Amino acid sequence: MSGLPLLPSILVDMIGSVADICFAFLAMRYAFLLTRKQPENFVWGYLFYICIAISAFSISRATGHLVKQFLLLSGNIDIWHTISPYTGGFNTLMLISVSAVTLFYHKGVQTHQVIEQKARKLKDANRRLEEAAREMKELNLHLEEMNTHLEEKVRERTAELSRSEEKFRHLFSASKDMVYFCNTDQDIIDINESGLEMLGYRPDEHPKLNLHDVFNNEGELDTFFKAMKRDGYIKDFEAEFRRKDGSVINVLLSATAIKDDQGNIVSCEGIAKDLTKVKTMMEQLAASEKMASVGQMAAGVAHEINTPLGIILGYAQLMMDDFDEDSEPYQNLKVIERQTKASRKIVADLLKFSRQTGSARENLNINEVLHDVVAVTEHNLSLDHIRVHMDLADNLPPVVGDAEKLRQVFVNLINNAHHAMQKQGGGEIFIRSWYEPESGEVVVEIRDTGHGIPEDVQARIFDPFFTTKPVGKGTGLGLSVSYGIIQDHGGTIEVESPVKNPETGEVMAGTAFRIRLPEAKDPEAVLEK
Amino acid sequence: MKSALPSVRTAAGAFFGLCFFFLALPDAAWALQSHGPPEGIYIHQMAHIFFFGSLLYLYRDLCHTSEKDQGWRYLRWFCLLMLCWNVVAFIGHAVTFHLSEEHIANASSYLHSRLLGPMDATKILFYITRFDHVLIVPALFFLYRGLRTLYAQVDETGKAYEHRESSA
Repeated sequence: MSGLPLLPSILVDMIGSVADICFAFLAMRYAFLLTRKQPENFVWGYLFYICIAISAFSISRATGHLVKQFLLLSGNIDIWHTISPYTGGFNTLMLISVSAVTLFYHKGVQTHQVIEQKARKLKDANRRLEEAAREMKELNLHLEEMNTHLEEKVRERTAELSRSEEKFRHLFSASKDMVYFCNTDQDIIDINESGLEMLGYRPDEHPKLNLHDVFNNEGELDTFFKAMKRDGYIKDFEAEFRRKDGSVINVLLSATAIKDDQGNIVSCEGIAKDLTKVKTMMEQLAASEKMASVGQMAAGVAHEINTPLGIILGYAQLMMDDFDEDSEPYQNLKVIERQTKASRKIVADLLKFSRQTGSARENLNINEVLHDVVAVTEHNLSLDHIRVHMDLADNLPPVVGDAEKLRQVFVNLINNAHHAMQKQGGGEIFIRSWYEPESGEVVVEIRDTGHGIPEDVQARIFDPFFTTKPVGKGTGLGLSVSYGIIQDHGGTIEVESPVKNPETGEVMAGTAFRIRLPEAKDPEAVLEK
Repeated sequence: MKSALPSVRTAAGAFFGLCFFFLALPDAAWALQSHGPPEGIYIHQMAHIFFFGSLLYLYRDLCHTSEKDQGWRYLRWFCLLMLCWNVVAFIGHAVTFHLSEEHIANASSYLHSRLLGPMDATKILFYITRFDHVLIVPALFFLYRGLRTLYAQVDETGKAYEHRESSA
């Protein structure tokens, strides 16, 4: 029989149909797995739908072919003719379905791409927002860190400023010199306690002071202002400041003008040092030098005069032997003898002042010397209603000195006090002694309640032959001799009038002499000179 | 409003009544089109054309995917083979339509059936197109391989899909 066998095509059809179903379902499985792996992925979902349609088409077609083959093999061709329109129709339906699903792939993907693009943009925007938020967070952290550092810096700077302010405040307040600040109207806007004390104010007082009130001399103030305007500062300017009580102190002033950007003086600051004590000391030093030179001159004069006086006295006494006591020449010679002796006493006093006389040194208890002096003078004092108060410290260390000469000093001082109070009909003399361990000195103070010594006189009271007493009442050598004796003992003598109570600050009328003698280095030693 | 409702109901009732009348008398309606025997094969052939067009469209779309991407390349092979299969199937259906049962001899059993000569183009095409599984089986195989490869390529981050999106 000619022709081509259809067996190969039948076998291929049967095997191929089975393979179709297998591969279609395998493809559908992986499409399904893809959708499970990425459920949000539209493409996988779409491929899954295509696979479903193809699987359905494969089942439809392959099953139809297999059924056909089996029916034809079994000879049931009639049955196949009956069902073939159904399988063919279903096959066509599946084919159209696959076509429809496939056709919409492109549009679906396009739509999906647009959505994805939008989603990606949103995602990018979100990512950028997150990055911006992260950067903001980092920036915030950085700012917080900077803020923390800044706070620490501020704390450190504040502490440094506080320390600096405390240091300069301490320097300002603890300075023993006056430190002040003033404005353009010359009002003192700030001044330390030492400055207030220097001007006689209490620390808790807040006086409204102006430089015009403080400067005692208008001329000095003008000089001060001119220097400040010209140079912007003034250095070591000696000026007089007026205290609250009207008294005047000498100060050494240094000040600086504070200027603004335009060079205008906006304020000034100054430091003033109280030179009153220094000036007093300088005056005392000058007086000491003057006394020393006067003493040397007096010693020379005394030596020169002493010899002719001795000759005059000797000859006068020899001549007195040649005349009767009742005769006029004898009386004249007696006057010569008396005046010559008076002159010799003056010469002796001059020698004592100039320390040209011999002196016996021994360890003395100054209280005993004072008791001896008071015992001698108390009677005369009581006659003029002058009472003596003694306040002597116990256990005073001994001083090295000549008891006789020290007695003379104390007698001189008590006599002066006596004379100062004699006119006013009485008064009181306070005798005190104490020991100052810091300086190692024994101090004796003799104070009266008399009329005091004027300030202009105080600088001259230790000058030889200076006296305020009437002529014939005093030689003016008492305090000079006392000064010389105390100097010879290595001590000092100072005067204060009127007297200021060191405890209460109260100013009392009268005069106080303070004698400071160094304590004996060797309490047992006795020196002879 | 109340007065308008009865007229609407009346009109609707008249419309549905007329429809029922024509459905109950189909012979007199002339609106129904009869579907004779060749219509099925025509529809099937048109379905093949439709499937061919949609596959071509899909192939064009898949061509935008990266050539380095093996999974999408398999899918393009699937499209090409399916396109070919469509052509073969269309021709097969067409030639079968022109052949009658007399051209096939069924002497002893179905398995021993033969296409009787003399051979002409129609018969040869008929014989060749009966092996259409030679195309559709590999096509489905490539579909399976393509999806399996994509599945293997897709990691948790959806790398394969993103790759495709970027290349598209």
